Amino acid sequence: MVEWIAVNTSWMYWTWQSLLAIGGLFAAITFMGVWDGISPSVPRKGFLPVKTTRGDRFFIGIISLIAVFLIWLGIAGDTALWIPLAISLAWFAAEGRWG
Amino acid sequence: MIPALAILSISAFIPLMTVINYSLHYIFAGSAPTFVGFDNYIEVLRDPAFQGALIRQLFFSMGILAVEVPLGICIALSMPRRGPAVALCLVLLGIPLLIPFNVVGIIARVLTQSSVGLIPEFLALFNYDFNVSKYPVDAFATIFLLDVWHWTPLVALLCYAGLQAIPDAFYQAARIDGASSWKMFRYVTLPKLRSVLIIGVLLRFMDSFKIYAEPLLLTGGGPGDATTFLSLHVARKAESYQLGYAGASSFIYLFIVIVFSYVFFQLMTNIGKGENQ
Repeated sequence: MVEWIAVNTSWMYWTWQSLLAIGGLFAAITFMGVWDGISPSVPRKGFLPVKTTRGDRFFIGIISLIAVFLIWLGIAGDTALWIPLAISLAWFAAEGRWG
Repeated sequence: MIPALAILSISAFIPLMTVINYSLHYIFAGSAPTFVGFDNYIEVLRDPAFQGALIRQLFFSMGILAVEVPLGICIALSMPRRGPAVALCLVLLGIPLLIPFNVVGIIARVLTQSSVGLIPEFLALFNYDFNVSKYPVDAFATIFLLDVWHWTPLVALLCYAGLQAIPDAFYQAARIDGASSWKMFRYVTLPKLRSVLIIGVLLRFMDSFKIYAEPLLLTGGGPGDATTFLSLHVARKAESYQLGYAGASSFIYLFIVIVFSYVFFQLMTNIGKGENQ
């Protein structure tokens, strides 16, 4: 099965890096869905200017992560990528907790 | 649920993932792909042609929203609420919406052709040398007006449907309270139109951000790169088999559309709710 998928999706040029990133994202979305099913999120008002649910904050976190990386790549190139990673993860955590 | 997931996979997941995977490779004219990490993104973000197309696109889309939304509201407000004229107005408004993008581009091309077009001939009466293949302002303005003509009726129809759904009791109450026409519009009509305006703004923003056929047919992106919008820029790169670059720019393009749409949605659903006070 795995081999069949690998052969028939080779035109998509999967790499372990992209598989890891997308697999992680889908796992996180699935986890959020299950979590929301078990314990539905209540919209709340944090430091963000609008009321947000867990899903909203997760979405904003992902969008922020991509934005930070794009800005970094545009300015500094692909050197020291741990810096945008640290910034975006710190923002992700802060926004998820207090946003 | 499985059929829905299968359809979603084919229509969204597979194309999106392919584009993202392509954006991480150097792929040129059928040669073996080489994994290059973020190199394509760096190239795109530092490319003056991409930056120019993005600025042009944002300017165009914001301008479109600034013109089409108020104009659509005005048209909807001035339409009759009942009677035989309603059907006539709806048909007239619907006509531009029925014309395909490529036909609109060809009509505009015929109308603006420098030697035989109606518009250059008319403007020549006022000593204005109108030429879309020579002057960037003429080309940009023509595409802008073309979009306004083509898509303002959509906003007007949405607003008209919204207006029809507002019960008269609201206006009667406002009149009893002595509200002026402006105050009735500001505090009754506009808040009641919120949901249709959200749809209208989002649809028009996303559609205007994808404008492709009109500039391609009318000017081919010129003169120079005056009407090379993002979609045209990306398509040219893909046509020239720079699939890695095209993939990276497509992803950035999608990202910008998502961010702006989310911001517009949040702004429009929260304006006037007093959450920020």
